[in-house]
Amino acid sequence: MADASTNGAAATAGAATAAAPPSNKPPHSAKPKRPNYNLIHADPLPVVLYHSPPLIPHNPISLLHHLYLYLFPPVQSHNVVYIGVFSPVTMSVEVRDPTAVLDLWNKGFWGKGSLSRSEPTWLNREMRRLGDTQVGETSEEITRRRRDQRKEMKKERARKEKEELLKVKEAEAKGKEEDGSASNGKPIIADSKVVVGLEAEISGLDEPATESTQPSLPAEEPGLPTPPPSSDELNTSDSESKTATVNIGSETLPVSVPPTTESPPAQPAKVVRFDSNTSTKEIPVERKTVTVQNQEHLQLMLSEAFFLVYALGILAVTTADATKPLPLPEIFKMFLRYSTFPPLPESSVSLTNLNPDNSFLINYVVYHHFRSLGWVVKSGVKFSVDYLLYKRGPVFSHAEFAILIIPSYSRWEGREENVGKEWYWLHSITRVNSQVKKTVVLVYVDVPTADEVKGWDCERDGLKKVLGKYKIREVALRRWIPGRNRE
Amino acid sequence: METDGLTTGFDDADVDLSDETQDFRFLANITKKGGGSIPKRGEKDFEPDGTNLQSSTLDDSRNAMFQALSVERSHTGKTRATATWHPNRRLAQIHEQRGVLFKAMGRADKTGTMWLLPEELMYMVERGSLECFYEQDREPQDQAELENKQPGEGINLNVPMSVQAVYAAALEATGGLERYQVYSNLKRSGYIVFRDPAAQFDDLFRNVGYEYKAAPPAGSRWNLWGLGIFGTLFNGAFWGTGKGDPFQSMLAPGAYRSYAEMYKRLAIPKKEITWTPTTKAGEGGTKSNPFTVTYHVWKPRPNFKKSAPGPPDFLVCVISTLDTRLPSLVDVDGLFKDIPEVDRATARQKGLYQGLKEGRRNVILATVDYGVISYMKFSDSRFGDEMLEVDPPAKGKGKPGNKGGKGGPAPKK
Repeated sequence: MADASTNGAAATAGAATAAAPPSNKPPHSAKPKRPNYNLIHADPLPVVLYHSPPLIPHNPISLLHHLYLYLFPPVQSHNVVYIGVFSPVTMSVEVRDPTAVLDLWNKGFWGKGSLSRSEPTWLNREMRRLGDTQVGETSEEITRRRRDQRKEMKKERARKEKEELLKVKEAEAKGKEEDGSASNGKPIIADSKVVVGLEAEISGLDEPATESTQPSLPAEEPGLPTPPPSSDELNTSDSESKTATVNIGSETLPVSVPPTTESPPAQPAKVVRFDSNTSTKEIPVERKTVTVQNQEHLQLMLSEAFFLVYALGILAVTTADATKPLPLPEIFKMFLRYSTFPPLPESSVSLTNLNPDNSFLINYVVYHHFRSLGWVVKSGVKFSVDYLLYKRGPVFSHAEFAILIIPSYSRWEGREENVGKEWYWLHSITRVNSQVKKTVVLVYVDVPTADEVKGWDCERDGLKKVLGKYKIREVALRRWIPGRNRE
Repeated sequence: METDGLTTGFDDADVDLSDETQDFRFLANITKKGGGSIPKRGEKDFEPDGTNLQSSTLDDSRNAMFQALSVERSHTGKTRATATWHPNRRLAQIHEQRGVLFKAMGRADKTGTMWLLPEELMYMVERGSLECFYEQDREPQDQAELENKQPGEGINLNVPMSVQAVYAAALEATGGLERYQVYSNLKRSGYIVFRDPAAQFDDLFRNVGYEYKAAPPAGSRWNLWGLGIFGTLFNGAFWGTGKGDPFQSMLAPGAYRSYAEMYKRLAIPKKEITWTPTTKAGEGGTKSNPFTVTYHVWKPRPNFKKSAPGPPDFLVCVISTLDTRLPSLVDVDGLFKDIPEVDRATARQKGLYQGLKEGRRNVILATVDYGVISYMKFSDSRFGDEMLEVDPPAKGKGKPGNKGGKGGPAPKK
């Protein structure tokens, strides 16, 4: 396992640097070059394309060749099948093989790193923390730096406000000494001045944000990879992030300067400093490589895993105590059981008497629906919704749509709809999402009755037919304000 | 940045300035100069900072409000408009039309008599533009007698009605307090508002000069997917009902030339079901279903004509939080069903995202919670019709024809 993970480390680092070829000419830009995401994430699925020779219609050999290819297609698409281990504790599927992790992330943004916000970057962060100069900045670091900057900006703004207030108070005190009544007109001018100054500052503060919300120029815009948004670090990474912040003050800034100069023979003892008071000038710029064992794995949601297993056939799932991959019916049954917490008892889930009102099944139908339309679907739990939809992927643009699944039982006899979904519930969700500029989409899923899906498990493509019996209808929500729609 | 929730500045389309407390100093400017623009808001003061500047600003604002409220409202005899409430017909008859408000209100019958709907009457009386009287005479027995009567003839103007009296007399006919609250809110915001013609109780108002209902669908089947007969044929041809592996992978290993080709196989077959949502309770009587279009709303425009308003800009459905919750699929379907929809190309003109957000048709749900109105637009999005571009764009030098597939039709901007 140890050597495998170091390979993975090299591979990850390799991908990051290979994508942005480190030219020999030192780029003297302040921001580090962003990797070429268009290249890294060119493939939307972890399935290999077949590049056929061009068809020349008037060439009989070409025609024959194509006919042959049509009848006996070369099996090229699934040359690897990745292995995932189902974890009942986290109710997710874990992928540990580094090449699989890399492939699954790069080709379709599947899963998330168990110790990262989204992309599995723990190893890179750790290497950078230990002083490795070969690894590019991770999105977590960029986000943290941006937040720190913002915090500073706010502090500065508060300080200025205070200063301004003091000035006003002093002026008023002076005015009182000179004559009893303070003039009314003058202070208002001062007031507006403060406001104008502050407005300028606020707009300055928002500038990076507006810049990054332009998804149209993802390649040209350096230094701001837009990761899937998160306001909180994972709990599991808490201790890690704490230790990191101790050093970050002294190390982040100098390290982010690209390692351009050919360094003299290394003085490795100087690189790792755990003393945050060290002056930044002393940080050397020479190259250094660190070897760390990867502690992170990729976590797949059940819907993601099932899509990879069933729809694409590119993943095999085992359990901790199984020796070989589980057959699909067993995986399906397991996922149906683990759709709720605590898991449903084994006896209550039956494939023959499939209950279509199973939350895994409903979630999977929606996941499959949007995935098969070309969206990259990620969990929306951070925004109180079920899924987020990304166009192409989280590194290219922010999620535009937040998916809220509304099961509908119009075909069920005597079943009440939308129990508990009061208006305040909907308003709180749309409010949260409009703050982050996402559009909430209600996805109504009309659930078939148990009778409608009976006998599916003996039919060819039975599951596909079951999925087809769920009806999906999307309703986008948008707050409407009378004062803003007149023109 | 979205995660920090910091970007929500004043320019955000979702920020409703009317949510905030007004700085009433702008009123002083307007009353002094007889015009002027509303000033931009400054920073919010959250707590007293102990300066005279702040307290004097606050005082100014407060005084401006009192001043605005203390202005005595009067109207000259020339602009005095009066009406009479007819309880039997539940309409108010205008005696003489004066003022600009009638450009977007009321309706004249064949004899030229102008009639006001109860909500129009309440709105006018409430804002002081109209004086209303209660008719003490016996009501005309039938329509013919009423129309034969000359305007102003036989009407006693001796029982003036207070605002309260107008509310008491007309509120029920408006369809409930929530509806009137939304009506007056939209009117005060400057919009032109008419009831949905189907919901009019008086024939006079039912006839409008524009298309507002979609043509009834050709089939009575519930078409969620829009595949029609071809879809059925397609599915039938590929499926057969043989025995076999129910878990057959959707993407068999093989040679794929483009990702679009793969995605086509990943699509869930969209088979229609013969089922009509009308079978369930709640759809039966129009009265019991609160999810119907209540108002047709037009943006304010100078050349608005009551007789030929053109199709409305917005459709508003008024509901109360007291007796409704999130609409079910059947409710939503019923709400959208009768509204004409734009075709896919028109929706796509504004771009992929905007097209999906606006949808093919939309209804604004005005949710009234004890007088607090929240407007939310529900749009019929149809994500299923928009396949995204999945293959990387062909290289400039390469063969563009080899790209294959029919990803998103529009190139990315």
